[in-house]
Amino acid sequence: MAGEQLALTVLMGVFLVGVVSLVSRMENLRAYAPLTSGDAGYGDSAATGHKPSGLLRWLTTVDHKDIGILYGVYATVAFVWGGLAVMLMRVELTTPALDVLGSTGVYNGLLTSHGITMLFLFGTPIIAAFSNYFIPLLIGADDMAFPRINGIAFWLLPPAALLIWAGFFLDPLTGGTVEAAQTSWVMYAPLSAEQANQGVDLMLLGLHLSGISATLGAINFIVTIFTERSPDVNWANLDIFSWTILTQSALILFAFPLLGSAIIMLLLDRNFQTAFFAVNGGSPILWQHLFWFFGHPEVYILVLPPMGLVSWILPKFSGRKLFGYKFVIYSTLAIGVLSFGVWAHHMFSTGIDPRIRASFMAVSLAIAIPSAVKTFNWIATMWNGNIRLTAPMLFCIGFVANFVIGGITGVFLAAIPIDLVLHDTYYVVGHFHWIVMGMIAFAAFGAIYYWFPIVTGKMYQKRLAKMHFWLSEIGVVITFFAMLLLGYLGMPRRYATYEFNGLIAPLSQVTTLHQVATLGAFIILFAQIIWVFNLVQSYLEGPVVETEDPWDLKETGQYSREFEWFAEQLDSTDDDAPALAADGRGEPSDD
Amino acid sequence: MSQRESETGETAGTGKLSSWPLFVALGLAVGEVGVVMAVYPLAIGGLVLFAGSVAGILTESGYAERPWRALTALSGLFVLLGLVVVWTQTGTELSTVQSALASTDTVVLRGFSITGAGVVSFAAGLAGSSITETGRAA
Amino acid sequence: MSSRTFDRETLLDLIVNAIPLAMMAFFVGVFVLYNPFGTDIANQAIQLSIVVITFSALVLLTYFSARAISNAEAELKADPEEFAEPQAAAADPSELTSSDESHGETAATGRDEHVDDESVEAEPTDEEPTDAE
Repeated sequence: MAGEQLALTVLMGVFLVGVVSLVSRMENLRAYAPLTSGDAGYGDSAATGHKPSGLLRWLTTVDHKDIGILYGVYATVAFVWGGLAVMLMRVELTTPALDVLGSTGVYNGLLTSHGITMLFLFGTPIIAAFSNYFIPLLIGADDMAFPRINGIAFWLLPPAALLIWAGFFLDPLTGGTVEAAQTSWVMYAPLSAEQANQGVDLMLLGLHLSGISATLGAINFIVTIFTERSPDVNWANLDIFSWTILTQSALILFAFPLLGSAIIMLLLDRNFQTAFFAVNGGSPILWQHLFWFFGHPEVYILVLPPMGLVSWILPKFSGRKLFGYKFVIYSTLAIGVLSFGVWAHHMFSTGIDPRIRASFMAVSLAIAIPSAVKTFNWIATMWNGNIRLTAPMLFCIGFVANFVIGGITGVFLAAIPIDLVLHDTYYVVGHFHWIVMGMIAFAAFGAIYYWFPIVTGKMYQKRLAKMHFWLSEIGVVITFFAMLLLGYLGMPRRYATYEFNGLIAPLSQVTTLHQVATLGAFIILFAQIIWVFNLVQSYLEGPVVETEDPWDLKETGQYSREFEWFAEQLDSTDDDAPALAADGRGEPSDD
Repeated sequence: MSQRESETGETAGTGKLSSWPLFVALGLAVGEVGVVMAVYPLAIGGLVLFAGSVAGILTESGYAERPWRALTALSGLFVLLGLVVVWTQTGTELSTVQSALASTDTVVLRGFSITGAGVVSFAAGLAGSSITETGRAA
Repeated sequence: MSSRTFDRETLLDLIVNAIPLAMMAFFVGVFVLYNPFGTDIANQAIQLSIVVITFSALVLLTYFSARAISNAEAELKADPEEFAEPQAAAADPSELTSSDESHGETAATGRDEHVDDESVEAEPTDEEPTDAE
């Protein structure tokens, strides 16, 4: 033990010396312009030629666009991890017995990893990718208000991911003494407090770091949107995506510190013999209250910006302005406030007082209104519009369609009597996957295609993009509709195996539906392979975009700031031959 | 450092890169893991890296003229925090704290590792300020 | 929310938040008047405070955001030049006509604007704007 500690100390010392030497080398590259609040005025394209090349650029950048790209790459990697985890789970579920994974522990580990990865390491970062890249462009700011804090917020995420996934890596290395956490993403006590496995501690630390990252980012966006707007942008013409990011950031600011505190309490319970969540102490229900007071706003943290993206992109291809711009803003703000008054609807079956339960039902039903208002706004925007079915538009329409099903299944769950029947069944799983995959991921795909020309200077392959959409949509419908039906049959969540009393439901029917869901999952997987291939291939070899208006937005008077910026980039690189290379775009972003 | 500052000062206005954010994040992550998982080398190294990077980033962004005072302040904070952690187990009497040095109680050791990180950062601050003080004349 | 503070247009926009507010007010009424679960002071206090606090927070946020937005709209109307898109100056003169209302949301009058779009051909096209392959 002492030898190990000594070796670690030496390694740490060597590492620190390495850091010092690297940093002093960096001093050569860095200009010492003190910039607080981004007032140094480096937003002009003339200054973009000074970035170091290669890996060093990506490790040291504080440019909001580079950080946006880093977030995007990071989120994609996390999406692949979470996606592969769920494919293994889906394969296991094709038969009632444990035939594939070898142990239920592996299934539980994959389940936990899938949930946490998709929500914290894919969902939040993919939104941050768009907001970092485009909010400053959309509001006419030079950069974020605090560019360095922006950098810190991103660089907290890779260690967070490594810690969250650490159990998988350490399992073979330690001979199974440290395993992947098997707590599920909600980490309910007493299960999470009593699993001796150190993988849980590492996961909690990783989550804590990702919470710090999200909070730093949120503060940055609030300050940026309030103080860095160009003089001609005010609250009446602020774009809808910035509004949703502003609301999201406010939610993060109130919700994530609470998650961080609750995680610290759980770590103390696990390692320092406190009793916050012990049965004879603060009670396991305390964890559920703390977790869901964070957890429900988290749902809206994840879904509001995608709604903003769709509200931004859908009008572009409908040839008309967003119907009821201010309806959408007020309903976004309303969702933001109401989301803090609904958390115990996740706990209807825990035996809390019926009066309190009724209150949460009331607010949960009320929150459906602002969400539904948006749906009608989107439909009204398309109504009689000149619709162009480009890949971004297809994803937006898919988003609206999926929201109708995902949203309405949620309204049913908000009603206590229905929830008590469907609680902890696949109906709930189906409901939130319609939202998370059918909305959040779809909006992200749509926005990636929409802004692909700006970010890469290239155009993606349209046929592949449309294939990606149709396969994704078909896969989503098959997989998650099957899950809703499984829920009606009473199939409980989070089980690797299933066995049914024929009086409840015939086992063969449940098995068939599981197989259908797995088939759908494979279709989704195939679609995402096309997506990744398309992005990489088009980034490397796609046709260079020469026009400043690749979507013909000027025709309908919808040409907007981010494309103005793009036009400036095109103009400034007209002189030097390689397009956009001055901004380091020629560099591969895989670091 | 000061010489390079004047060299690159001419290209001022770029400012789009900084080596510190990566290390602030890394320092925090490593330090946190070290303290919670009771891996003392990681705890000390991570916290020192964190303190140094915070001092560096404050200087770079113009909130502090030179990093050393910020580093010293942070090191003081760590020493205090570490001692508080130790005191929770031993009480504030000097003799019990001294005897706790030989303790194998992990909470005490965690406290000492935080204190240790403070001491190392303090030494780094002293050394740094004295070295660059002489170097600055050139 | 007197009509002096907000004009008719803004009040119409605020209906979107009035509906959830009305729902919550209805439930407060039900909880107080019908009281289906019997009397228990502590739990009823929690029960009502959840709805009432959420209700008040929504009222406050709606009020202040509506005030900020309607003030900003007044600015837009007072000085439309200043808030014009910068691109108008940057872009080619030939494009000026098509890009003068580039920001979909700059329109101060809100929903009325959509009427002009009906002249646009309603026929959906499958065409992509640029050539990819």
